[in-house]
Amino acid sequence: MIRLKTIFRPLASLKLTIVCLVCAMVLVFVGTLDQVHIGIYEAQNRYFKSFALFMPIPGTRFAVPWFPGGYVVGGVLLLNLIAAHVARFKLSWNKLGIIVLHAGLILMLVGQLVTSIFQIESQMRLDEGERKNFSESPYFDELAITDKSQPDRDRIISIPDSELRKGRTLQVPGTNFKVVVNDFYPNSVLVNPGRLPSPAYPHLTLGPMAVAVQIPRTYKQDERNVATAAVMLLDKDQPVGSWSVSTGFPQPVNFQVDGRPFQIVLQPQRYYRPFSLQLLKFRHDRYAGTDIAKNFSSQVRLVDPTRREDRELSIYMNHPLRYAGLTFFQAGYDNNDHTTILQVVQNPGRLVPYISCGLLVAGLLLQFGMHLFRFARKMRGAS
Amino acid sequence: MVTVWKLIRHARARLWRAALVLLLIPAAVGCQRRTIQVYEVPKSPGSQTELTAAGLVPPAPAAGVKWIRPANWQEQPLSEMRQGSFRVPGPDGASADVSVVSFPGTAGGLASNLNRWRGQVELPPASDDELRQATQPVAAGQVEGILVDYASPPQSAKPSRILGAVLETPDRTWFVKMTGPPAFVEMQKETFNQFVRSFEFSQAQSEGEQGPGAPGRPKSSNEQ
Repeated sequence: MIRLKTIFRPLASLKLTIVCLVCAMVLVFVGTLDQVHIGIYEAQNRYFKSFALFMPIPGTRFAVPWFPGGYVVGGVLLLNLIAAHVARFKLSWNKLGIIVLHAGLILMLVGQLVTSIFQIESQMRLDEGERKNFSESPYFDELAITDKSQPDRDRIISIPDSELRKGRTLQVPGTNFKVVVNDFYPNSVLVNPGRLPSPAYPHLTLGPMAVAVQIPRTYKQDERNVATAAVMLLDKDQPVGSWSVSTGFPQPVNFQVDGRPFQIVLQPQRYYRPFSLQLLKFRHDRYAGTDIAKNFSSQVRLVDPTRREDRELSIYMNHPLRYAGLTFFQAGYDNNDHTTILQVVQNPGRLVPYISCGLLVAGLLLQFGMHLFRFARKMRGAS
Repeated sequence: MVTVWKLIRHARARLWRAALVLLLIPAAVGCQRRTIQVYEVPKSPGSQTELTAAGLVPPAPAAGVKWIRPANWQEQPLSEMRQGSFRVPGPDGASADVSVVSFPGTAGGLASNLNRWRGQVELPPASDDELRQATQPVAAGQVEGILVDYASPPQSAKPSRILGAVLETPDRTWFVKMTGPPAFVEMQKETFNQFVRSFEFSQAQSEGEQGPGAPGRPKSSNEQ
């Protein structure tokens, strides 16, 4: 135990705690400022869900780390806290409050780590009457190749946009398919071919009347990148076809392999569920005589054949639907109040912040309560 | 209770290992790297309008627009693109297909869309002036539009004809199209024109209202 303490003493340093807290403050400050330019999602990825902040070296493709990212700061803080317990604190009833308090803090850090790694956010957009068994990512896209030959099921090959890079050949596991990425634009604009500055201007032809031209990626919160890819599909190393597909025109293209019907499309990444939701009615209530929103609510029908569920329910602000490990929040609306947008959150660490906050409160109450109790006893003894 | 404390004391020695493992999680998971996946799902219940639980047809075929369907036109299942889809049965097994689709903005420009239709009946692309001369004005309520009539050239192996209408609301462009055998489409021309004139756009659609809930960008429930 003595040896362990010697190892952990530097790690348990209070100076390290201060450095970590200062680093966390700097990260929050810089990240919040940069959020104006790159949006909340990208700011979270760059500053908090990263090991380091990188600075590109001008004129090269390389970047150097210049500041620790959220994972490093949080991780070191976690180690520091645990090391402090190992090296410094003695277990005793007097310190129970501190221990519970620190356990809450550790749980909070771990919970945030679990959330940042495992949380999946997506959106379900439903027109009135529409029924869907999938939600879509607001950030990621996928190249989906669907085998439509079975009467009741579709077999989907989903290739994430992060895999689509010019010149790559991707082997689809468990199949004879290979996808050759001839070109990929992470963001593009679709224009009429006649509007190209010259016929030789770099573009991808989507059809006789539309071509895609690459533009810089957007990070604005209310904008989405329009990805375009030119891909070739090989079956047993023989070409099946070449297509240019774009999320700006997510219409599946039909083709056949050995007489079996297939479709290919570049679309927002889909997350399929074993149940479906149908929007029966969207309500946007306003205060009488004004345009000020009073309430948004979606009357939906939940059908889950696997659990024999078929019921109607209402999703409104501060009243999400929690079902099958997912939470459906009322997030937005569109289409003249005929379309609802539900935020779908899958977070296995959802309850951790509640438990950790409970521990923090219990720890504080214990610690201060014991002090108060001791103080009161001393006062009684003195009098 | 003392035994519990002893157990905790022993466990404390292992805490640092647990901490290291926790730190390694992000590295091991690689921040949840997305990979190629192959999976099966039941056929989509339809990204389309369906009968509601009560067995009632939803009020409008597409949000913000209504039309009057001619009596002998049969509703067809909607696809992801089509907001209206009909089959027009004719004599001797002939039939025509009618579609209603809409896109935000100008949908790539009028000329490109008209030339796309021309291409579908094997006609060569035409210039903007030629296209404009071959259109007829039409009005659906407050919304102005054009009608076109394109037929395959006489030597065509698969003669076909397209009656089309393009209606431009301030934020969307609506395309109504009938495709079928030339002689049958001729018989249906007046019915088609009446169908187009029956289009009724909601106030927000025809005036381009940009207030809360108007079409355009999705709104967040938090922005008020």
